Amino acid sequence: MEKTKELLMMSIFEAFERMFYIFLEPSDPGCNGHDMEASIGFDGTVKGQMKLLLPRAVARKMVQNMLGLEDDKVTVSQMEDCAREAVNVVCGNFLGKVDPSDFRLTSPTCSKPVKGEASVQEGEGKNVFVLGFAAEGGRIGVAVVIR
Amino acid sequence: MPFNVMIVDDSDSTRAYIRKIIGLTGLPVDQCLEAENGRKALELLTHNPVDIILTDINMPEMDGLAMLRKMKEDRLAQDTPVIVVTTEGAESHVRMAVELGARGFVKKPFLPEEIKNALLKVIRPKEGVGYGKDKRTTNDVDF
Repeated sequence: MEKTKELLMMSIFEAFERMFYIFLEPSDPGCNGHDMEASIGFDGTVKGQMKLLLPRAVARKMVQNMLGLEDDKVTVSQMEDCAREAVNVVCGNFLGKVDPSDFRLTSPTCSKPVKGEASVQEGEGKNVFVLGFAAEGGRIGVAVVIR
Repeated sequence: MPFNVMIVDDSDSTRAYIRKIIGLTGLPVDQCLEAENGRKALELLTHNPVDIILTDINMPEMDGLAMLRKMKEDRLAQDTPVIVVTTEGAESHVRMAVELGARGFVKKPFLPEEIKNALLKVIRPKEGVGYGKDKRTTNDVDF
């Protein structure tokens, strides 16, 4: 359980630093203020779902850093696209560390979070991980359910 | 000699990011075509000369592996090197991609230099275009 959590954290740090040039600090996972929820399912030797919750300010920063755009040039569509790509990259990276032999990902989606925080409950799966991070622009949440 | 490159990825941001990286490498690129899935890429390939393809695997409508399979079946752009740029680094997918003709593999999240290095490996130094057909194994591909 601890090892899996460690691999998940490593994957989150790698994805945000390498693709979005955003440096995260571990933080309280139970925070509100998320505007976007990107979600992806996975199947293979390990099955489940991952959710990434972001405030708009962080998503905006991701687009700016990735594409070198000015603040006023960033569109909602680009922020949603970056959120989807982020959960896709974090999830693929994480599964590659857990068991690289075989896994498949669904197409990531992005929507408004229902409760404003990582909406997974204990009992939804065999293992549930909910992590929080502080970033420039706000806090992000990552929730993984392994079934 | 400038070459034409095609980027296949369902994420607009990732396509733009890769295009930006390619621009910064200083490699002589003439045209940079983009497609959001394998089906669109195949359409572009039938009408445009492409020297190098960078493709994701996980895409709606037609994924990267299905695109490679179709290219092989239809003998479409068979001499064009394909670099797989994906988060789906499962060993089974890598093996399949190599069997279907992929020449390089870059795992997301990538650093800009990883894209550049993958491009340099498939560009024939003097002619500035990709390798021709030859036998290859998983040992020839960077994981």
